[in-house]
Amino acid sequence: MEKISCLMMGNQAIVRGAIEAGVKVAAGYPGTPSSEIIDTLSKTAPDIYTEWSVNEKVALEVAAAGSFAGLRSLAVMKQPGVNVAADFLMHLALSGTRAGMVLVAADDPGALSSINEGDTRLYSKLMGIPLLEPGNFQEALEMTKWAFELSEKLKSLVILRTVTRLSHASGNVITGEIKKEAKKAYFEFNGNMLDPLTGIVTTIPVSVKHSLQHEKLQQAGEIFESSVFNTYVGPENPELLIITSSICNLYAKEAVDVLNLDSKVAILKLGTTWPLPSKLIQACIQKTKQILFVEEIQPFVEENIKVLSAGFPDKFGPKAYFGKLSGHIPMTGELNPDLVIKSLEQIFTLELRAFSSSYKKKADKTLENCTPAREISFCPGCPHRASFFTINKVLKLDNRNGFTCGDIGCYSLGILPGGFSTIKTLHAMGSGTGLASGFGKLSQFGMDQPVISVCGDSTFFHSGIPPLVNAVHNESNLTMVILDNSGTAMTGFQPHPGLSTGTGGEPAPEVDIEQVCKAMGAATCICDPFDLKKTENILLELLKKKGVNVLILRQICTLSPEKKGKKYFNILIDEQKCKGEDCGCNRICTRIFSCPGLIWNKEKNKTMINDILCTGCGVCTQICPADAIKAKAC
Amino acid sequence: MISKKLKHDPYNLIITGVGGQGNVMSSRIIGNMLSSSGFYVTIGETFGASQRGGSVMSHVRVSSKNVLSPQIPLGMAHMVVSLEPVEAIRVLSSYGNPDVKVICNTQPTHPIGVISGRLDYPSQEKIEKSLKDLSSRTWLFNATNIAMGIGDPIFANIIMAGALSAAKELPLDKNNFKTSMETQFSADKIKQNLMAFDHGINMVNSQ
Amino acid sequence: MTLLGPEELSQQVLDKGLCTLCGACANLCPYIKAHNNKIITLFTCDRTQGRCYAHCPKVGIPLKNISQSYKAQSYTENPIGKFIKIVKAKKGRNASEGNFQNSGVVSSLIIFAMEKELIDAALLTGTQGIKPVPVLARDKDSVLECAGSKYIASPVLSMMAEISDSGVEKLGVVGTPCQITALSQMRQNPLELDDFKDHTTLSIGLFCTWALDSEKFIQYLSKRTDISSIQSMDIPPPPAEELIVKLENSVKKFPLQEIRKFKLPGCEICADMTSELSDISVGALEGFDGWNTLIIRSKKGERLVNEAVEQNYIEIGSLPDRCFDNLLKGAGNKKKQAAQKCRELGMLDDDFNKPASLNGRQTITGIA
Ligand SMILES: Cc1cc2nc3c(=O)[nH]c(=O)nc-3n(C[C@H](O)[C@H](O)[C@H](O)COP(=O)(O)OP(=O)(O)OC[C@H]3O[C@@H](n4cnc5c(N)ncnc54)[C@H](O)[C@@H]3O)c2cc1C
Ligand code: SF4
Ligand code: SF4
Ligand code: SF4
Ligand code: SF4
Repeated sequence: MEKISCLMMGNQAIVRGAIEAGVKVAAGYPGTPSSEIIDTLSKTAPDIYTEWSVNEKVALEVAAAGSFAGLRSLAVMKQPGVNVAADFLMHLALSGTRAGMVLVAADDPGALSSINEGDTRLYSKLMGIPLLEPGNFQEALEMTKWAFELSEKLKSLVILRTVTRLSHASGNVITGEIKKEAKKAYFEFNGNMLDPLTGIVTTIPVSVKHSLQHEKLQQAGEIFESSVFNTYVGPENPELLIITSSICNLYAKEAVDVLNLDSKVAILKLGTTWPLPSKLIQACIQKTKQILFVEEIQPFVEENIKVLSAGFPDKFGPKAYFGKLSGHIPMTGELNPDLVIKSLEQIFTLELRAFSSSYKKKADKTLENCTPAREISFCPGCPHRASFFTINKVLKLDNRNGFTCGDIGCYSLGILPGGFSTIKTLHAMGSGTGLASGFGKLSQFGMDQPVISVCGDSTFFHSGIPPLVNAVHNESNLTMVILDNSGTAMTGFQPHPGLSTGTGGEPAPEVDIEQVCKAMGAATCICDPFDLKKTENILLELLKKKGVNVLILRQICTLSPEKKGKKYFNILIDEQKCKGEDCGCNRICTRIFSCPGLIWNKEKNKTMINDILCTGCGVCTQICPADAIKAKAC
Repeated sequence: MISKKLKHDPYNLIITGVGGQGNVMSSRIIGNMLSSSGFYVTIGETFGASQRGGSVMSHVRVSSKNVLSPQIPLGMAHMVVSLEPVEAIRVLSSYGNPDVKVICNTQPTHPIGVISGRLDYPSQEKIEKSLKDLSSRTWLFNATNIAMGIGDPIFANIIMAGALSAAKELPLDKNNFKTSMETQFSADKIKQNLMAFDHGINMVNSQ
Repeated sequence: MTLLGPEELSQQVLDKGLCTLCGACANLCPYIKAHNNKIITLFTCDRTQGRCYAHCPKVGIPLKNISQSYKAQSYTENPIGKFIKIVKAKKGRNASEGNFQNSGVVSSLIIFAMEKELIDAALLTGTQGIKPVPVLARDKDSVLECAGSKYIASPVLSMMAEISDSGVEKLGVVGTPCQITALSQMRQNPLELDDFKDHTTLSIGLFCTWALDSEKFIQYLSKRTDISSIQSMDIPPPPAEELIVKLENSVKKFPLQEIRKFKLPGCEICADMTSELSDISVGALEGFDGWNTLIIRSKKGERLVNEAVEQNYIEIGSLPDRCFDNLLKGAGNKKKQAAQKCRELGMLDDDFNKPASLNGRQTITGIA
């Protein structure tokens, strides 16, 4: 029977693998590039319990409960989320799991949609957790499926590490059978204290559990020696062996193809990267004199194979190693076929791949003259643009050099000129408020700058609450602005505890942000950021007030499914009134406010509306000093 | 099971535009059509922060032999389909070559730098000349206007897909499209989509 | 003078702390605002020429040119400026009573001008708590409410933009010398805007040697007294050397040398003590409590004063020679000291008024 292949995104292939493995519990927190996994599960697999948890640590805990109760379970997060979950992760690695449990961690080499570039693989080593890295779409499915079996066999959590270029890329996948098995959840705890399946689940006694964990890792290593996910392709005695993992193996393959080096270069693609399959690696390395490591973010495989080589000097012998440590592969940023091509050209001292150089020259020149840079910014009608406009204005009016601490969300763009460069510190989820809590205590050392923190609605629940509690209890002075756009906009409008819909769109009890803040003792008010004057007045007053103030700026994201395409107003420009670049305006609407819904017509010295992009929020009408922008209710 | 042959194997198609224009949708539709004809299709794209008004680009790679890297090597695109004129030029400067072909929507989307007046947006003539200079064949038309006529600028994506099929570079045709639409959309949506696809075909056939 | 823009205004005046808060640059556009007795730049404006700069009395003011072009009179080397007549004056018996600073000549003339319909309204300075604020007075009561000098600088002219949209056709303005200078510059329509209209029909200038910075001064006072109970303040003419603060039930005195610490640094470069560009200037009269010094400078001013005297709104008498000599000496000293300070600050250098480089500060650069 011929199997039908279909086009699947890496994340969808992971979902399919989990479904085929009979996963019953899945929990995660949204984060690019991982979000589609829980999204898809919640939409397509009603018999699986799927949850957007409040944060990654809780997601891992929720999933672990499934495993402890005998259900295969999945936790999903982007790499920084693993950092959030790390505390529980370390304990879970030691306590062990029962039914198969897999943590899908999505790394983002090149920080394409992150503000850091972490490598989850190091957690595997740090915490002693078996690690798998799918190298293509089919493997994303199959490895996920197998990861559950492996986990069950070892009674250990297994990490499946994907990367943006796999998660968000699509390729052909042949699907398999779905395991349909009814399971009753039951948590057994009356057995022998040390029995992994019937006793209590914990990390103590640590000495026993820690050595047990090492036995599991050893066992994993042995299983990995014969894993089908480790493949060797190329001549028997290659001039160069590329050792690679993840999507990088496709870059390596492409590079070898483009340079026609198939007869000289072999590729060892490792799918099981912790613990490393030592014997397999020894056998492959013996075939060659030169090795190139192709991997992203940390030189993880590279360093660990070098450590391995020290243990088996006779097997490894003298070799030339190339990779990140030799400078042949960049230490930071993501890879692509061209970077591998370049390092191969260097190693084989080939002439640099010939572009039609006259074409390249022409193209570069056109690029310079003809393509204005396209910076990312808030969308037309974005509530954050209005919020930051006001925050920025109020801090200036307040005139004490106040500043804003930010964290992660669409509103991180507030650090860029498109957000009026309002944000001055930007770190992890909730960190803006934590920093503000600290800054707000520095008056005893003469600091008199007021401090604002901005935090999204989803982020508030994720990790904005503890720093707020901290600020209240320690009598800090700060104003926390909660940019409540009613959803997790950045990652695709996943619900959060503040909304009345659950993960699958079903009704759910909402946790009222305002009540939560009030209960903590923070002076709390709500305003619509589209009402610039009102927001300005409230915020000006709050900055003068001592203590912990919370201002919830509530306005739904323009891209949200409920809002999309709906205009509040039809916007028109009165050209007679528009002052353009004249003194008295100097086009604040386009030059400073810069909503993409506006067009600057240089020839006419007038602003115009881009009807395709303008969402009719009406904010620009409040900014125009000449009353030239008119809003008509739709 | 592959009955059609590719002009180049792998065939490297880039679909580009601005965040929010629906690029991902185009690449999916085209990818699905080709995959259901039995080809290996690899689509590389990123989304997330880059969606917020930034340049976006999908690499669609088609092969009868194997799965490919989701990133096309520099200078190796065969066709660039662009929903925004300046983005087409941007892509050509990295992935173009003298033989590359271009289908481009002429409706500009001004970057923030242009809106704020610090950068200039090139004139229509300059864009056309540059695109012609940098490709072996160019099809230019305002797909956004046509799409607005159908009722939503988002149809520009389908118009571009139609145009691509008419350019006869890849084994795509209307039946193909219809089948793939039928698996995803309701009848009234399909009608609008087919209309958009036809518009795209006409734009290419008339040039 | 070279006509420059907001960047130069920032560099030459605001960033150097030389602003005396006349308010002439503020509220003309969305970028520069007067807020809480401070001039605040909200966003950067990249115009190379602007009214903000053109109006400012702290950037290379050629007193000569202004008096020539605006009043069609030539500037005299006299330290109190060109005048028609100088007298002593006080409120007449037909004028209302009030909490005047000296004898109430300013308030009485404004009320008289309103009643004669020479003006529809007057831009004055009232208070909000202890802080002075610009007030558009449209009737006698609001004029009387604004009586008394506020020694804290107030951005009076920041209200001009709002007033020109408010339908007032004939405006009277009372201000300190820097405000009167700025007003004259405003009235010249320096950017030659088509829609410019000069609504001002009467300007009364006050004598002034310095004004105080609100933040520092209020901080000082609030440490020493309950500022909410302050009724008025007075600095009697020399040799008193004190600031008298009238509280609800008592009077407090502060040594002037303490108070001078809070005077605006920008006052040190001000060469004008008697509001040389006004229609009428009014100050205290040393040694004669209950009298003012009054300088009539324009024909319009002269007519107003004559009628006000006829109708007993004010009373005038000849100025004692000793007072006139002291006035010249005082005004001359202020000019000398200002010139010295300007020289120190490099403001008299040839290249002082040159365009600043914008360093791309005004544009969005972004992260690639
Ligand atoms: C800051 C300041 C410094 C002064 N220094 C001197 C000086 O050194 N020598 C001298 O002879 N006279 C000085 N005067 C003028 C003097 O105090 C009286 O204002 C003047 O003599 C008029 O008295 P009057 O009784 O007619 O005023 P009133 O009838 O009481 O009227 C006072 C008028 O002054 C205006 N005014 C009050 N405060 C301000 C302010 N901060 N800015 C602008 N306008 C204001 C009010 O609008 C009001 O209309 C100064 C005034 C001020 C405001
Ligand atoms: S109304 Fe104005 S601010 Fe709002 S989306 Fe339209 S152009 Fe932008
Ligand atoms: S803010 Fe108003 S006056 Fe100024 S350019 Fe825009 S539309 Fe014209
Ligand atoms: S130049 Fe004109 S628009 Fe610019 S800050 Fe000055 S007054 Fe405002
Ligand atoms: S002195 Fe007047 S014009 Fe000059 S900066 Fe200060 S308020 Fe503005």
